[in-house]
Amino acid sequence: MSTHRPRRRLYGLHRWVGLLLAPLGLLVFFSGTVATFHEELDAWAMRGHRIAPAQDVPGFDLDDAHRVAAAGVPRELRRQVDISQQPGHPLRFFFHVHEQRDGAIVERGVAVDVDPTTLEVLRRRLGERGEALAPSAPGSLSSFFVDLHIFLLMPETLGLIATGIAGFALLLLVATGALVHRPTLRRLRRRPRTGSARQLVGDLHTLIGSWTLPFTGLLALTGSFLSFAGAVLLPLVAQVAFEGDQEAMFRTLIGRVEVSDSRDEASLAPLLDDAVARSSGGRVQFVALDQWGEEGANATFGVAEPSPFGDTSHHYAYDGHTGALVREKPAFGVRPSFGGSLVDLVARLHFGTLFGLVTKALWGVLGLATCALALLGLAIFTARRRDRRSPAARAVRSMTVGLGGGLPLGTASAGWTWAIASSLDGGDVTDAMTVAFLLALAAAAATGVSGSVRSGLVRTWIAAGVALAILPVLAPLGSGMGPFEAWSDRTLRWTVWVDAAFVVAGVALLVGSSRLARGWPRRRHPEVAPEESTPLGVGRAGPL
Amino acid sequence: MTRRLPGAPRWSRARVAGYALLSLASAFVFASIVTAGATKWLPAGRAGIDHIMVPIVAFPVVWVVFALVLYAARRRGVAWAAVAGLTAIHAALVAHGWAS
Repeated sequence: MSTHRPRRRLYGLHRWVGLLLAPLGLLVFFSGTVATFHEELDAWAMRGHRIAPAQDVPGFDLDDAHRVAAAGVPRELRRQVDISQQPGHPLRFFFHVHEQRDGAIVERGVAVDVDPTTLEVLRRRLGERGEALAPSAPGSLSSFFVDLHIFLLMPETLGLIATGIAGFALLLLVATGALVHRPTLRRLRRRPRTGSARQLVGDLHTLIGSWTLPFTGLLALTGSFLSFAGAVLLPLVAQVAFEGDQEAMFRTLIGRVEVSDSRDEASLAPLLDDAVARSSGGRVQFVALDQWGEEGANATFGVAEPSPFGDTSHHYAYDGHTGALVREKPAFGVRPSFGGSLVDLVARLHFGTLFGLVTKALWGVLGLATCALALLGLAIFTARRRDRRSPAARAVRSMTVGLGGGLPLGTASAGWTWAIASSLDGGDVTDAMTVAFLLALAAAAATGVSGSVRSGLVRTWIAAGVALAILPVLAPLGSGMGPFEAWSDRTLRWTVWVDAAFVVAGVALLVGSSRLARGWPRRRHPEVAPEESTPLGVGRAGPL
Repeated sequence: MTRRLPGAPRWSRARVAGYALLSLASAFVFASIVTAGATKWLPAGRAGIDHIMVPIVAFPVVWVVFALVLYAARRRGVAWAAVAGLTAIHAALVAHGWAS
């Protein structure tokens, strides 16, 4: 089985890590691709329930809104306040305290939603950050895919470790794949052979893997960092460098703001105006009040200055007593640094916001290519199993169909459940969406156990294609506004692109299922030796 | 076709899988210790955060490099000794920090 030849050993590692990573990894890649467009998806889902941005409300006073939200909130929770407003959502105040529990920092408090136009309190929720800030029913659609991508439907820390392992395994796959396949310019230009399904699948896997190598490497590296940093590494570094005091570490990372000794309390409204003016009319992303109402009070305003090639972020730190600007600071630390810039770059690269919508669109396409790459890898493994009735062969077939067909079907099911459940219940519909998503995966996997991969994919793609194509018609149940009404509104005309994306995805799945059902590929090149399709010539022919 | 080098040991599939798991898990432990230890010798920079941020960002790369070296190196003994030695230096830095 084994020799001392590194390349053969790496090939074995590539194959087995790929097979083990497939279920976890495909779930992460696919949900990540959808989550790249979470802002657009959220605005599409919220179109009928839109609340005006506080910045655009004439006469809006942040101090009045803060006073209304803070009424009835215990004094100890009022020291730390996060204020933010996502597009279309209410203005949200999260009054909280930091607690250390089981070696990790936990934020517990009360979230208060306020309508910035009427200053009416719309909702209050108690609990830890995730629980208190849970979205309303219309906002559940995009947050479902974001949470699926970050936590994989698991508890917070366990989910982060699982996605971190998926990122590490992908990085390992990229490294071993590059060392085994050795992508050269000649190989990058080589057209896939269409002699048989097995050849085509093998060549496509190598070709897509070679072209997407920098992207998958980048996403794996940044994703692994983002998952492991919070769950494992920051607590570890806090133990070593801060004697276990995570609060002290986070204060160092965010940067201490030195303020005056005054006991006065500054008004927030002038600070808001000042931050907007300094950023040439930028959009306020968040306001963080620290030690508010006590000694050392300070306020940080995060403002995004719009630009065609991605927003420029500004962070303005103000003295909470005098209202004077202390400094413009970066996101990490009090002054620009290599480490802070590195983490900022990592986040922008991972979320596809480096050059705005251009990189987002590119990340979407490349994310789908990575999903295709993983599925083709599974298809190669399926084709090599000669004992089609063995439990291992059935398991791999089931996994291939469960993920290849189950993920689009699960997305459509979650979308349908969101629309229907939102129209019945105004609360959190995430649990219902989770059940629908998992049932779709299980149903798709079941079709792979009994039949072939081809027939399983054809059936699930037809179901998913139809469900996705008619989702825009069903969406008004959840979003509260029909597509024609939205398209005729000048500010919502862009939602036609989201509707079109669902229809195009549905039609693409129907066309793909039709081609697959007819027996694709149809051309044959008998002169091509079957061994050539694997990097080490160890593959054997088998039905797909 | 599969060929074995003269004199190379014949390993069962279970042994290869076990060795791969051992390499990946050991690499995780070694990389974690190196990340923690690197906070002791890396410069803190202008904002005083570089020594925390840089090792954490580099952690996945260190883990993958260690894993590949431990698993696929021709000279396994040398590879394990090199990685364990690097880890021991960083562990000593962490221990020195705690002691002082």
